[in-house]
Amino acid sequence: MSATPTFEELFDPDFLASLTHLSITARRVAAGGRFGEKLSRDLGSGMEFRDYRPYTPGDDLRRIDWNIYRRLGRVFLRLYEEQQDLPLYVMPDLSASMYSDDAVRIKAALKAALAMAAISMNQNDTAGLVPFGDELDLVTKGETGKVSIMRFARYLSLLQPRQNTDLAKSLDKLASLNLRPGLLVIVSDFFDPSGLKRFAAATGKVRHKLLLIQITRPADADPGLEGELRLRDCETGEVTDIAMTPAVMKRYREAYDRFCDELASLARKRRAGLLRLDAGQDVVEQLAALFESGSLAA
Amino acid sequence: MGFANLTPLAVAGGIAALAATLYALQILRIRFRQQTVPTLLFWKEAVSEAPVRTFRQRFRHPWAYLLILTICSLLWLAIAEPQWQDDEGAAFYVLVLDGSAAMARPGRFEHALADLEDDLKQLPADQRQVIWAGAAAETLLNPGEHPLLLPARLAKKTPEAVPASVERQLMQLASVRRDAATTQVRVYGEAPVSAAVIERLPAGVSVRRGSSDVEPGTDNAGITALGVAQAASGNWTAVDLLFRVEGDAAALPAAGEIVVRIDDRTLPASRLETDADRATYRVLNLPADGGLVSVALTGEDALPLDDRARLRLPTQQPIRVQLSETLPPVLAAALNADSAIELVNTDPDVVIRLSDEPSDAGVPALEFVDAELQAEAFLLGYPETDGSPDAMVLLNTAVQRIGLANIDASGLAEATERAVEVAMQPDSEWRFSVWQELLSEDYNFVQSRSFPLFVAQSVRWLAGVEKWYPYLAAGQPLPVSPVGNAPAFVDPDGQLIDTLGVDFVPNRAGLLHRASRAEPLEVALLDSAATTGRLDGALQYMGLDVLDAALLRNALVWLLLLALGGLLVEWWLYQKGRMP
Repeated sequence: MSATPTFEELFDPDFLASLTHLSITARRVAAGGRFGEKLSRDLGSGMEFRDYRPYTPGDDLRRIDWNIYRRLGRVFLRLYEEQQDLPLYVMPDLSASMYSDDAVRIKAALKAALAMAAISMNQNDTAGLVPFGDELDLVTKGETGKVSIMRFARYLSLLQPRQNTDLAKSLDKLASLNLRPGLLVIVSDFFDPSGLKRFAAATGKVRHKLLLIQITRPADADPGLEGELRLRDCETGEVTDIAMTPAVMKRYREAYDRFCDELASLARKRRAGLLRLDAGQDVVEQLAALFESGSLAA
Repeated sequence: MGFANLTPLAVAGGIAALAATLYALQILRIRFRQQTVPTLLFWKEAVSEAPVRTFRQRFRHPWAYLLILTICSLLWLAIAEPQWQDDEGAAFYVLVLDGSAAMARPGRFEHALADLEDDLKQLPADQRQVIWAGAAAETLLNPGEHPLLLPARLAKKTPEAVPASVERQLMQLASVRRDAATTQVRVYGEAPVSAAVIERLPAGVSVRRGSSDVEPGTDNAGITALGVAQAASGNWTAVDLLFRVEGDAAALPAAGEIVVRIDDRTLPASRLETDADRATYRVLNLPADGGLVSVALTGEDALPLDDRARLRLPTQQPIRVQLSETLPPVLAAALNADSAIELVNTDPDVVIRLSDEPSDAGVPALEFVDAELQAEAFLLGYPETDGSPDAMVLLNTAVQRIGLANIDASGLAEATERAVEVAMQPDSEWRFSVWQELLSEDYNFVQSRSFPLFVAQSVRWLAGVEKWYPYLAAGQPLPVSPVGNAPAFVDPDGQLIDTLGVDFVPNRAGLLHRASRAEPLEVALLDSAATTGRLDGALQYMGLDVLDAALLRNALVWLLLLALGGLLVEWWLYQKGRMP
């Protein structure tokens, strides 16, 4: 198992600069959050004028436009766009499977996590870090502002590998933290030995909007193994002896495809976003392709 | 069923060894390659069964073991090459490849060989034999041997300067053919086989020509006869040479294209006498001094082997004989009648005397001895040296050369009332002691017609005069010469050739070494059939008609097809994941 990538490996100015034009738009932001750059669907007490509407009893008298009343004799309220921040919680997977094969998967995962956090903080939103393995840890509830990006990157570089993956248990703990509702970004390969069904059940317990980033490798779909092999699970240490045949490989690919379909189905049911990142490819380019409209509707 | 390459025991043992080896491979522990993977989630679904093989446990896939054992066994059987033996009526084929001089014509040998190889592919290995018919019969392929051996055994084979020997070998084959099977002899080449020979073959033996006919061409002429005879002039020390040239009219040589040489000396063309047909040539009064005559046709034609012939001339010097005056005049009359003998008083080659007369030591002698002093009627003496042949061999040879076997021994015994015996013993010199009483007129010995011949042969034996042969042709028995000692011959390794009482037949053109270490004789081809290309019409070409049966019997093909089928099944099972 390889160590976590260093700060220098993660914090690349060019990498961060390339993310500035990307943004995240939440379809729904819980009211009462920090004043941020995300446009809330609510019209309220923001700074930007948006519209007028007739006065109704109970409205705030301070919003009545008296000039209109003087010209038209009717009472209208001035409406302003209310801007609230979108809390972002990045939940990177630190299990052993992310560190296998020269840690290619964890490098991509942490870069994606940093990218999402940077995008959020560039928009004056808060970004929290809750890494997980067989259990979830709260590193920071929320870092705000562009100046915090470096601090966030340092948090990421200090993360230590865990052994197992337990998505359900980690989500349970996250729910118990009672964080302000926001966008929860889970960056993982989702290779949970207990399967996706427990994970799906656990997602119902969190109040956050979900964005799943699945870190993949080409070898996941086509391992290219031959001969008589003793396969060892890098997380559980479990071994299985296999004689590779075309039929075995075919069944493997079918099982992997079912897994991916199941994950996509889960995302659809939870109205969550699903990004599939190839760990061997450039993370920024793949994110840019996904943010092709300039923003990702979460 | 039999096996061409292995014994049935080896086949069974091989299959057992294969079964044991494959069994061991099945139960041996697999040496797994360690591989760490991110997760076993999908592998567990892909491999729902237990590991393929487990050390020292029962097979999980016994049918897989049986399949691979079947495939290996089929291949092993293919190596053993099983062949079904037909019933007793199955034909046995003897393929005779003609290696005679006639096959040296351009393309003929290659054509015959190609036909033979085509037929060979169609015949079961245990039902055919391939024989080379050259100077001697030689087996190229025994029954059961693989045809791939043939090219190697034929690598150094080319048509030899010998006449066709197929007829001779047909008779030998007929005598050793297998009783249980009919035999078809197929001749590949131009060798003539006469109807008389075919008729003499026993029932069940048939002869066919296996190679199709080839145009003989009209561009060959060669020497078909070469011989010498005592000179017609009566000169004892001279011989007349005769040779015959046959062939296509257009190819017959002009006088200038015939070269006759004696040793290193070329005879002028003017010495050649010929008939109008330019076929028979004579050279008269050549010295009988043992020279080597070489006749060559210098023009180019289709068959070079018959363009040159050689013959060793006889050596005929007068034999100097000293005759005792005390002997009856009948002896002098017999000696005077022999033109090869010169009676002298000094320095003789042979002396003829009474036994009690003094003589020069070391001179071979024909002696007449009192019958009371010698038990045997004919007593032969020979100087014993380290290299002397066995006495019995010498005695038999002498009896034949002197002609004692032809003497009316019983008549003499009756007349003398004594047993007539011949013996041989070591002596100080060559000696032939004969009862003196036989010269008496009381017996019918000196009056007989054979007496001059007896004297002449005895003198020549004592003088060491060898027989000479008027011609020596390959494949033909040595002609009989009336007088002189027949030379003994040795093979190229110096071993004495024992003809076991039959006529000696030089089997190829070339040198013929004499045991006496004299200059070797020369044997010429002298084969009119090879020169003219005239074939006997009794043998017709007939193709081999065993193709279908041979293919059906070719177990090798079926075994390989079955093994291939097994491999395809294994591949299919492997692809389906049902084969480890």
